[in-house]
Amino acid sequence: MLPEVTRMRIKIIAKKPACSNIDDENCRECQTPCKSAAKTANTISNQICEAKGANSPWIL
Amino acid sequence: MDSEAHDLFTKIEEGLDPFSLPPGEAREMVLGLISEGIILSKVDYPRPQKLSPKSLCLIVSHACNMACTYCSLSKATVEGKLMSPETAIRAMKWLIDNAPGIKVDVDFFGGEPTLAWNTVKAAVDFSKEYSKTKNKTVRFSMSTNALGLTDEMLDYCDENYISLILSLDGPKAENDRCRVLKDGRPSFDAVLPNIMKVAQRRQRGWYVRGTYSKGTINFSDSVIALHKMGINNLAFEPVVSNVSGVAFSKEDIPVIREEYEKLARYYVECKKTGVPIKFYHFEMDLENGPCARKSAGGCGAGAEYLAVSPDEKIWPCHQFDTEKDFCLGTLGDPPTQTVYDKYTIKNHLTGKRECPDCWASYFCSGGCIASNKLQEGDILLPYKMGCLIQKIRLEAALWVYSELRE
Ligand code: SF4
Ligand code: SF4
Repeated sequence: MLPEVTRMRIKIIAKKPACSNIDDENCRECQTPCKSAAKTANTISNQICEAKGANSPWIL
Repeated sequence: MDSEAHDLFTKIEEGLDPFSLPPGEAREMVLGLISEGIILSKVDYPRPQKLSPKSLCLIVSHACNMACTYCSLSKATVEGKLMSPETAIRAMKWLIDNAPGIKVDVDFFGGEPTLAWNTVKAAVDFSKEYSKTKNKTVRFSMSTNALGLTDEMLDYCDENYISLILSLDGPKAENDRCRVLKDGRPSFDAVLPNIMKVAQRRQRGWYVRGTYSKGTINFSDSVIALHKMGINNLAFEPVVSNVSGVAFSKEDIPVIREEYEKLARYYVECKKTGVPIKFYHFEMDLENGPCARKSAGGCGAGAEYLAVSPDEKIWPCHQFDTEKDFCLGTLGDPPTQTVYDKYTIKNHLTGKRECPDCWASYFCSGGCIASNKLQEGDILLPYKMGCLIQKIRLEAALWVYSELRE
């Protein structure tokens, strides 16, 4: 399923840094990863930046 | 990407200086990708300077109404203590008073939190009112085995937007291997009706969380079977254990890879044909993810994520409950800036020796420090099996992402 070409594409995508759309060094609006994964090993792949918007009352 | 481009990127990976490329299409493409920050990007990731508790795991119960054989809290659950409503309120007040941001997150955890239902309600009722006076928004979740989940509890959870994380390890045979009741009887038939109730009444704000182990290594079948039963929100995690017959070894890695790949194909098929499904670890958003600073801060344990146990002790996270050397303080004597600094510095990508050069580092940040401690004896040494599985899982998630984007 993951031929070499896809692996390469993956590597390139993966090397892209996470977003840099906030300036506030102490911004803490997005969820804490393990917390949002609710007791799973740390993963932030499914996190979204919440500095602007994302005001749902639901954690999940 | 054609094979020429593939060879070129491989050489760049191996150290070829892209600026030494001869003029032409390839050079233009590579330099373009660099200037857009897509490849070879360098980011600075400063550590947060301030004490910044943002999310709390309230371990409201050291008691449980089940006796799962792999329970990580079994040491703590022996004495079966429940958190008092007063303690929960003090913990919430401390968090709301000290959180630097607007959003504050809380998970009710155990043991089994429904056994301390009055404490859960006291914490929620207090926080709703108190947070208004401090201009904060508190969001709740509860991790439960669903055995004692009543309609009254579900109504209250709906009214207060309490997300539910429901434990189930698969269909009957797989679930009942480890998830058993106090008297040793299987739990599947007892918990399923409550789980299906949640699945039927909620669009969002819940998922079923399973654990797979050596004995249930074909977990993609479990996920697919649950999905076919109408459970659309799912997350499955590898067990972290040293027990033989439960723990994974290197030889299991090819099977685990096949399992994620099989699940990824099923997932893409569902998404492409409009069948609703959410597998937590395949839900990836590369465009709107958290900033680099957040990514490098990892899970935040001990820095922005803390746990409080029924005896009012504060821990770096729920997994450290009862690990005396890791106790950060108590609600009466809360952690100081110095204590925070210790963890903010340690639980950070740059503190984990093997991680900063890893391709997955923005998504993993050096893994779970509790698992690192348990398996490698050092919170800064990535747990080897976890590291391998993390990369496999992320590759599958990236494949899903690229398939669904096209
Ligand atoms: S995948 Fe492994 S090496 Fe990479 S960041 Fe995670 S723990 Fe570190
Ligand atoms: S140490 Fe592990 S269990 Fe604890 S918050 Fe971090 S990732 Fe989660």
